[in-house]
Amino acid sequence: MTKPSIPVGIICSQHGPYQAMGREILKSAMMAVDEINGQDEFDFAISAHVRDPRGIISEYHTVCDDLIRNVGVEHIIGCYTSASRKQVLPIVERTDRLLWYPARYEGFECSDNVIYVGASPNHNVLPLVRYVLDNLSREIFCVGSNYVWTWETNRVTRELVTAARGRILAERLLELGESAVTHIVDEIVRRRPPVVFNTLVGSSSYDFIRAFHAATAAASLDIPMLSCSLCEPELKIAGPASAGCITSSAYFESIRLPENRAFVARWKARYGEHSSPSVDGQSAYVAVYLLARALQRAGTSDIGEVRRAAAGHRYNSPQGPVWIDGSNNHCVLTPRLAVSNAEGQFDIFWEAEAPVKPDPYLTQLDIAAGPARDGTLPNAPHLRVVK
Amino acid sequence: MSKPSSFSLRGRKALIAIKDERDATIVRRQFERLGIDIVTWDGGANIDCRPDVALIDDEFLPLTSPAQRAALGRSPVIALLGTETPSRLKLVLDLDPASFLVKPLRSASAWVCMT
Repeated sequence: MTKPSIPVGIICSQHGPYQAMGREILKSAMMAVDEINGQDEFDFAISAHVRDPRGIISEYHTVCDDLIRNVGVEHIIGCYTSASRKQVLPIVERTDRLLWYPARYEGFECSDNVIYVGASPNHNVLPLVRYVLDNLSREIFCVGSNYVWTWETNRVTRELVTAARGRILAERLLELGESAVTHIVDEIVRRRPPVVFNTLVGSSSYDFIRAFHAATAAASLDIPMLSCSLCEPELKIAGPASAGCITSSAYFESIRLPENRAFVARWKARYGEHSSPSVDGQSAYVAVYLLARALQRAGTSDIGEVRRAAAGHRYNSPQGPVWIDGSNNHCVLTPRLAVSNAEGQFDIFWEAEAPVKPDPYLTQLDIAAGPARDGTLPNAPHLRVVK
Repeated sequence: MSKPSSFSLRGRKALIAIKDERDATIVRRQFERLGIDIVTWDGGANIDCRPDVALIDDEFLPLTSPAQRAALGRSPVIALLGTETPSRLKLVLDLDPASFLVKPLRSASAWVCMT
């Protein structure tokens, strides 16, 4: 007997400045859709309707409107940048649809019409900046893409750094897709900051990483780079220059969990031995499963019922246990820190001891809980090294 | 000693007086997310707390009691407006509101008006 079909929209840019990440999100989402459609556990099939806004911000509203009005979807998975999410937010709220947003983001948002599956600011920027303050430096040079992700991440970083009596040495911004990075790299070589925090997105980031590596190597400088978004497919795009980047993320391909080993094996069987899932792709995979399980429990695609059915149910995902905090529609997940290596992978050196509740507005943030005030920078007692 | 972030609203106290249950639910839910303590006022009794901010639905206007007016005057007022006539707007302006929210509310609005 044929299962009834539930239409689900998938919005991800397969062209434009961050096409590589959009394609990774689509690949992971479709893998989850195909798995779910083949499992007896689900008494329905997901019919995926994919739209490509091509990285053009105004197109996100157009394709979202098309999915809702013409296809009749109640659930949409996708968007990568926060700018794109904020573009579709008015229409999903006005039409009372549910957006399952996979990417880690900067926080300070909490729509009842969005399930935030990726990391919140207390999962990504907080552990990274705390680690830097405790172990590397109290001075940070920031370079990022000129939109809300960088603005907000830099603002939180500045607050933490300032509270630790440090300072932000510079904030340099590039438009999305901008490849003219030489002037910023020249400034870094001239000023020699202790660390550089890279919140560039897509091709700008790859151009910057390559130019930064070449220039610092030529000047015999060893300046650590920080990131809250770099992932394995990007390491491959940027090449050997991307090694040594300290990265905060909820997912790395190198996570040693049976669920992840099985996920990576299925991924490689489907997309090739030399391919790797990305953090936001893996999150899209998790989003499809969280949605499917909620649909199954709710017995309807009604968004209110699905939202209620989704909250609080633990899913042992590739990144570890994940569940939705029903009080704010964000996910409880495990933050990790890693450093990229020359093989295009990440070596994880810290992870939280248990999944961490999302704090999208950083209401629990205690900025006094920073590094030691006696001038020394000991290893932070709250960091646990993972061998 | 702990110190909240400069943009944290944790521990602040808000008086909310909202007639429509949907709007009230949105404000309560959003304020709980922000760590704000809520005191609900139904317009009947005197206001016997010292809130950091008061959100008042214009449907509670005019305030008939001098004590109520004095109590609201001790904290910033955010007025909730619908589609209003000049006379109702005059009552709202008499409260000297610090900010306005237009009904129906969105959770994002409840956050923005507090920052």
